[in-house]
Amino acid sequence: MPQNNAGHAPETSKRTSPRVYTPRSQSELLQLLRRHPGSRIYAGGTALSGLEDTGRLAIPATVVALYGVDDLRRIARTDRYLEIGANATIRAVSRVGSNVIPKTLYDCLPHIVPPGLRTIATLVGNVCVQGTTTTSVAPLIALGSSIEIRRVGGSRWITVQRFRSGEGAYLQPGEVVTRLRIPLSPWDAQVYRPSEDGRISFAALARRSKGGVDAVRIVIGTRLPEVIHNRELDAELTGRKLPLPDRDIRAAAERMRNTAQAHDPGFSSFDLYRIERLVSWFLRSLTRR
Amino acid sequence: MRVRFTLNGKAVQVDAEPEARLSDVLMHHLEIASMRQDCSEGRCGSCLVIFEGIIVSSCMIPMFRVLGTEVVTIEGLFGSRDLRDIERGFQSTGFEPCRYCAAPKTLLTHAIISENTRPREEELEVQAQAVRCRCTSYQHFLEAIRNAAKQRRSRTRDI
Repeated sequence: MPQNNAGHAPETSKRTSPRVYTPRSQSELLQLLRRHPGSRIYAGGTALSGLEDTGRLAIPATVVALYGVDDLRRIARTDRYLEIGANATIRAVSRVGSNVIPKTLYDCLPHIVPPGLRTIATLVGNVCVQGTTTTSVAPLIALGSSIEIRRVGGSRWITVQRFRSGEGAYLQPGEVVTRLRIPLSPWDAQVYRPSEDGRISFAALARRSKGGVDAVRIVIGTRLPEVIHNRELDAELTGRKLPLPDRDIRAAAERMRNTAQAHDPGFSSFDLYRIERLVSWFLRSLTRR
Repeated sequence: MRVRFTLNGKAVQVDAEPEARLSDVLMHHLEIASMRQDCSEGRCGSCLVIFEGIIVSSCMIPMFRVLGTEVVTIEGLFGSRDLRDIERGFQSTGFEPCRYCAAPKTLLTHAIISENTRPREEELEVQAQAVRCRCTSYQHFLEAIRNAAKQRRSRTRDI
């Protein structure tokens, strides 16, 4: 049986039943991943909703399950960061409270998975799953979050944006994401808006000072692994005086629409319209605040 | 694979594929009458169970995950005072879920009020969405949970 306390003995069963390993510590986890570099990592398991013909869950051939590694459930807070372990469930994260978790992320938590799965789905798992609608990615990128990737003998931190963009930064064999680090910078305006159909999610942050915009980040999550983030637009809006002229708001919204269109030609005209409206609504709300 | 676990307080063992769904095994191998499965994606909430003390859609739990764990279905509450609290809470609200969702809604209520007899409104509103059946109104269900929590508090003198 694979689920013994030692966590070493593989599944011995007929046909193509998956081999499941359940390490009890991070070092054991890393050793297992080194020995089985092609294995899939199982955290909450909620991305396995794909069915095989027989009605079984689509479990890969070799699985390394994280649920036995208690270290990875840890959620820690410092003055500057919130650190979330790879095994921390979405419910555990939401219980940290809206006074600690940045609002844009807190508002997104109920939308990541159905309520019946919040007790097992993990936030880090949501970041790592490729090719699905990833609702938490837009707010995490807007907040400037990073992830820790560990392997035997080393670790590295990379931003969630770089991880998702796939600039040679996807997990290498033998590597695992162990922590998510979210900066706790103060923001005056934070919003998160998912679309009803789950095609886009909108996250935006702004900081004001002395009647002007000190910093702006506007990120749009899509069904693709990458997000829409026009850094040039963010930079152009930074330093502008409030209230923003209506002409500039319209121009910014149109630029975001064009960026979205170039990013994903599969967007419908309604999706593009929604993006344009969300950007202009957010920028107008800055003026009203 | 032979999986041993505790179901409703009793030790059971079952031969199942490691990737089989817990909901399937409960329905077809262990013949749990209350168990239903609809969407198979964890969205509808008709297959809710209490797994290791937390409420979860059992269709997303593979059997290899169940080894050595504790699972509770509504059958595990039959005849208990906990269930009576919930029934009284539901009755006092006039809340009557349909046959399809009565078991998951009762189990969900049990999970919520067992964890905290004074559940926070914000959390209650999210958790109550775990069962998608709309045979009753959502507000009515929230009210029923609050009344069940009140019954539990009065029984346990947590007033």
